[in-house]
Amino acid sequence: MPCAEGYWSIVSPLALQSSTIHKQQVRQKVQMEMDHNARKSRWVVSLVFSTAVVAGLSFLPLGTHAISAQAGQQQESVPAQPQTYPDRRIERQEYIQAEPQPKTELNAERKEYADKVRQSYNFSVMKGNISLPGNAEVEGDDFIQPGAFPNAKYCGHCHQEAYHQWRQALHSNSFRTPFYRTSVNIVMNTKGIQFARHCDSCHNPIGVLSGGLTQESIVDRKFDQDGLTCTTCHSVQKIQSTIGNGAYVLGVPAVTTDAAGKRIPGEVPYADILAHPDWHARAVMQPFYRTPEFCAACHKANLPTPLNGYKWIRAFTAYDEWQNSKFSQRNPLTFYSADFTTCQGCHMKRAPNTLPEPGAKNGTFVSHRWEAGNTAVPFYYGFDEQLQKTIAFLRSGNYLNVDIFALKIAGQDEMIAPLGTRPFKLQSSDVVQALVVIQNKNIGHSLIPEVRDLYEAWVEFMVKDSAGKEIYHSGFIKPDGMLDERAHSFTNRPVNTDGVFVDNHKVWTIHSVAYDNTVAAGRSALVRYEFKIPAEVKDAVTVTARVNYRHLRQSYTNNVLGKDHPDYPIVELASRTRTLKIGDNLPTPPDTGDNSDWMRWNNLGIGFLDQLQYSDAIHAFQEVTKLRPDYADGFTNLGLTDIEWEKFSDAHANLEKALKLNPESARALYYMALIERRFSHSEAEVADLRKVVEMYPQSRDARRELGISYYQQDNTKLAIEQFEALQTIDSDDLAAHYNLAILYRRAGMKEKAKRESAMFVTKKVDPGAPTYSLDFLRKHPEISTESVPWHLHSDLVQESTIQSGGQN
Amino acid sequence: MMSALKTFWAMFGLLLIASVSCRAENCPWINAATAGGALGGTVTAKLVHTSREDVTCEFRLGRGNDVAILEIAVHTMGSPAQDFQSYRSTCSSAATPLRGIGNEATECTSIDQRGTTTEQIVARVRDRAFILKWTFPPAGDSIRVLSRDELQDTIRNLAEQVAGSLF
Repeated sequence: MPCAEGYWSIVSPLALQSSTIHKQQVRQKVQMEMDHNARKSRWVVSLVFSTAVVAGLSFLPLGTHAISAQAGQQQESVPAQPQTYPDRRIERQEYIQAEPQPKTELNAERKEYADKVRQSYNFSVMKGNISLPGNAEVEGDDFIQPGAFPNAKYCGHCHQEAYHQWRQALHSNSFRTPFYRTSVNIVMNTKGIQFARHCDSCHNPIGVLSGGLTQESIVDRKFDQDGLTCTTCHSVQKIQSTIGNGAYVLGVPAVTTDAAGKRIPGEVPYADILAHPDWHARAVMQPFYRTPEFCAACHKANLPTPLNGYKWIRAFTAYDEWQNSKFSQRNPLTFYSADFTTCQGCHMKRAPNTLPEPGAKNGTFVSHRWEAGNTAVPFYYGFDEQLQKTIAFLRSGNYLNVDIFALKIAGQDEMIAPLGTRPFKLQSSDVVQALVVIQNKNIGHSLIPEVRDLYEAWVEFMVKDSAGKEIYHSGFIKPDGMLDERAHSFTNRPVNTDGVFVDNHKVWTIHSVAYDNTVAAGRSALVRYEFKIPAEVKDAVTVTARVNYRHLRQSYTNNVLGKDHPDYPIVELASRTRTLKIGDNLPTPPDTGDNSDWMRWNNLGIGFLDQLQYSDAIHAFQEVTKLRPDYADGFTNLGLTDIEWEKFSDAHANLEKALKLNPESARALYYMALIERRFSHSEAEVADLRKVVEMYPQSRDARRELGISYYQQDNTKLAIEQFEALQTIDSDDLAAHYNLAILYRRAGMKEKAKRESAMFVTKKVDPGAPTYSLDFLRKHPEISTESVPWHLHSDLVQESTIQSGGQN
Repeated sequence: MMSALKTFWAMFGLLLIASVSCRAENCPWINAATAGGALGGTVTAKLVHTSREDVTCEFRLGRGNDVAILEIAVHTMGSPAQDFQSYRSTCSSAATPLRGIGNEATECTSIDQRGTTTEQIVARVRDRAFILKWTFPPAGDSIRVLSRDELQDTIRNLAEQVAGSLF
């Protein structure tokens, strides 16, 4: 949700690309192959593109050789296909989709209303556009009366379960909650209420589309209390694209149709609905409501230039994170696989209904609570049922795995790993380093998603003696409610031009992100802790690592409510405890929630890889292949690490092993294509990528690379096809904008080229932005190490290391 | 010619100043349309600045004795913990605590000897208190008649909006 009760997890990793300290985040964002291309590729397109992005050039470099359409060389293309869902994934369609109303004249009442609103409406953002800098649209493309939206109580007369759930859910409270109002009030009071249309396109669509967000508003705002009411979501007729910021098109709200399927606007007597429930269903339901693209309309956001007066910046995109996750089955490059699951599959699960609900099927109803991570809002309103269900949701699903994977004892070379599988000896006064691996195992988006500047998840790590006395503690809550600033937190730090953390969600002031330690879906974070076992401890210590979550940072809650608010809930998401004996430790059986050993090594390898520690990653993945010699992905992971490390011959050998085990592995084929490119085996490269695209038509990475391959083969037409297909998957892809700008120009399509050039320039990174991040990190040494991929959490002062300056 | 031009610009400037200064100031807490929606018609509005930051808004509907009034008084408190008690004490002991309106809120009803009802919500948002009063006579041609539940729903929604503006 854009601009929310806490929103904006600004993710503009490309802005940081020139800084090595942010390479981890960059890689997560642009995927492995982009990093690979960004290095020493000798081919024009990838080099030119990569250079442009890395250096943040403010102009469009031109290719060095002419490209023309080569009809004779064209191959059969693989056009992008709309996502098709296997039958097992679709519920039986029990209604006929209603025909959207044709774009006709507004009815007299609406026209009169719109004319009246228009007289005093502030169109300063763009003349004639009622929602910019948001993207909300309504059929008829003009203001609509708030009264045109039947309210939730009208729907709740019959849909009692839905109403009951919705009233406690974040969607119904999307506008009124103080956590949102505090944020949006700052926009209104500093920039002007018209800029709040950016936020309210998702938080208060009726407010935007009725023309209420203007200085001289004539709109009765009684609908504010219902936020996203039934007839906002259930009136959406179309998704503009997956650009977000409220990229939906509402129809004039209707709760039934006539016999011919024409929507009948406004409320109708209940008897009419009961007489024709199928007409009701076709007025208020659309098949695409069950797709992730529907959610993308709001769960993807950017900060456009009209809002920040600076440039386009990605805010957050839970949708793209899902699309890149194993749950979408659209990305061949994920480390693990899973059954296809949509946003709704997790956040709108069916459960038995307790109240009358005509929408229920076989006694179950899809959740209209949208259980997720929103604990602050039900806590504030006293919605205990919602709060408990939210907490239960957060703890369900095996979403995270916490693994105290290994120990390193100072003075000993060998790593004791994986813990529990082999004996080891520990002594009093030992200085111990613990390697904790946090796996984002079954979340379909990052940990944490969306508004990373406000949400708070972190690792709490404790070491205690057998009497319960604390030996080491990281990630504690201080007496004032603030989190230990040296905790390892899965968060980011957006900063403004003064190098100051944007604490109060003034998103339009954000110019850079100092660091982003969130864990992408399916990946793992490796966190290191160091502690010393006291000399007096003679029996054992217990070590606990847990991931905690608080909906909102304490300082933000303080901003909203003042410091005298009650403590807001902190939820333990996952944890693991191990007992370490002083003396001999024998192997111990795994806990129920523990991953198998090969996966533990695999996750460690992923953690090392993301921290650019290639040698350690290779070792970890080699352990995977020892334990699972049949596991093709183990060799692919080795190949991937080799590519990252620029050991291309080794990569080739490992990928060959992977393909021998599984010739249809799209992941191995993809990386093999990159190697083929490196070896100038252009035809093999294209053949591999084409196979990947055939298997995964919605793989943005494969489309991008295939486009580049065709470009390099001077095949303009096929290159354009791939980049255009890529844009249907991700309309913000920089490589697509960049390469299409060149390709269109060379194909004589000047207007299209101009548009793509403009989009590239708009969306590309400001090369000056990282300076604000560095400014922030310089001012905050207490957390600056969090921006370093490899860092250690320790209370032990190592004077000798500090004094040596790294010279001995 | 020059003198005429000067006079023109002087007049133009005066007109501009007059138009700006005469422009009606809007209530910062809720707009007149929302107040009118609650009271049930087109309202007249009056604003009083009680301090540099604080404004009291009054919306009226009706004439003579047949008038419904919605008043929103906002006060910035130097010592919220103590000062808010005095604002809250304007509600009788029968006050109902409310959740979800500001940091804290209470609602109470009083009816005077003439039968005039005052429904009141006193609430706090950080260091600011507001008192929302809805006063209406026993009955009247121009006054919207609401059930008790409707009245409470409406005034609580209004209070939520005022609190929202103060956050």
